[in-house]
Amino acid sequence: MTYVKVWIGLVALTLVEAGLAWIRTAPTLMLALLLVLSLIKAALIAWWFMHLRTHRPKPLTVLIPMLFVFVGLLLSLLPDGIRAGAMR
Amino acid sequence: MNALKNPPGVKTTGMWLFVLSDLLTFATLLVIYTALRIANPDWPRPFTLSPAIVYATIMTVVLLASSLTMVWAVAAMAEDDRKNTVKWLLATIAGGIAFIALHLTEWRHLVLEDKITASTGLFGAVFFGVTGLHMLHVACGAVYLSILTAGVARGKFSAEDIETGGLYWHFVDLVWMFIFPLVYLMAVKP
Repeated sequence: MTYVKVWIGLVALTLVEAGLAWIRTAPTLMLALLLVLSLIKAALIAWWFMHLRTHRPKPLTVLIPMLFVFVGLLLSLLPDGIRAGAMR
Repeated sequence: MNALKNPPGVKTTGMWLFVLSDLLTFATLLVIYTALRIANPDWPRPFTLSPAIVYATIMTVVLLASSLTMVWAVAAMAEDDRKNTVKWLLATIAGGIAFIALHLTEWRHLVLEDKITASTGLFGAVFFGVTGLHMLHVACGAVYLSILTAGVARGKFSAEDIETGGLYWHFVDLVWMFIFPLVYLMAVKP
């Protein structure tokens, strides 16, 4: 039953995302809101469906190399990110 | 459900490593897509609310539904209920096939009516690159789950094998949770 509730939550968040496009939210605000909603959905999938709640991979060995690549990726694209405020 | 409370085995740990490395591939593509979207004021925004966004929303719900049936398949296998495991695995595969069919229909619309292909500029190249790679993952997942289904029906495979397949399938679903808003919703016609 919990899984069904999580699924309903995921569908509801998807509809909220589509609703943001429907009401023509400003691009910069929309990008920020969509990223937050997507992260919540991804967390719900990982925590409940992928069983991170009960089955955890060894975090240090798995996550630390990924963190370095992620930070490097963000830094390399920072100049473009600064222009997000002028997005049309 | 006891099997779900046990620590992860070699197979699930291996799948986690694969999932995280593949996540970096998609993260790179999506960060680059978003950087291009921000950096180009004239970035194409070809998607109409109806039918394109309605279609993409239905595709998202279908993929989410297939994740739910996959969870039920994993839970059934943890109880050694092979009959229900096969049933839910088949439902998951059907969801994957439905997603691909909807996706191809949406691609067809984009190519034939909007005249956007992988070679008509940066948007087309990145759009078909990202969504094509994801569709390939869904297709591979459907084949992977078909092999698991055939094995479970014959009395082969353990609960961890099904859980490993489930990890892959949920990962494909998780990635779409970023593709749908960043690629589709951020390119809705003004």
